[in-house]
Amino acid sequence: MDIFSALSDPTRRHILEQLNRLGPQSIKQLNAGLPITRQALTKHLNRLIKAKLVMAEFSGKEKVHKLNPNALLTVERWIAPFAKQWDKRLQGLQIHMENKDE
Amino acid sequence: MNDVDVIERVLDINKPIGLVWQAITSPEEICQWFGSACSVVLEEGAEGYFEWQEECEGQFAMKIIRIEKPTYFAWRWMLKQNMPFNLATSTLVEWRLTETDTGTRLKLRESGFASAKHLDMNKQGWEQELTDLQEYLK
Repeated sequence: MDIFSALSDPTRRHILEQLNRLGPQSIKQLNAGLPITRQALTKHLNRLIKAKLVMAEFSGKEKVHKLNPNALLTVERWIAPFAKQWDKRLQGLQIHMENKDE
Repeated sequence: MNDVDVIERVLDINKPIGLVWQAITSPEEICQWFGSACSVVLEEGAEGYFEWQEECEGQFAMKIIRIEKPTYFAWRWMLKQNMPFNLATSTLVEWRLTETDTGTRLKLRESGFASAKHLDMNKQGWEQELTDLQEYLK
């Protein structure tokens, strides 16, 4: 699963965050918000596209990039059992604290 | 978007910060609500493990990263049981405590899942390749 490798890089996570916040973005728009060269950005975008986290499409003449929500669901699904365990443990902590004398 | 591979939870507890701090940092107390066993010395850099005897066999290796009594506590641990502790393939668990009018607010954050998973898969890939190579050389 290339998706975790794609996500393990902080710059690529930053790109995803920006796409999520601002919606579909051209390379130029993305580049304005990131302290990296255009070449580096293109390389990162290609990794994200390969991992199916990002999709590229044409809006008129301009190529824009947008998030693939389905790919993020895959990650969320993988993390869900870990999150569920935390809910259980924190519930346990709450009960433990209620029974604790000051 | 929060980071996609991060778990964050907030819990308000009706007790003073000192008591909550003790509950989340004292190994004797952790085992009462977190797992069935916890073995570690409460020191930065100390390694230990958690155990859940009823739920799964084996121990989850962990390492204490930072202790800032009574507001910040952080450890890293392994996603899978019975693996020696490894910085790269572990996730970071952070506890932040703040005093509120009614007691204590606890913020939990676990991060680094994608990185841990990715590097763990890589490692397995290499181990498999080395095993294959050994077989081939026999």
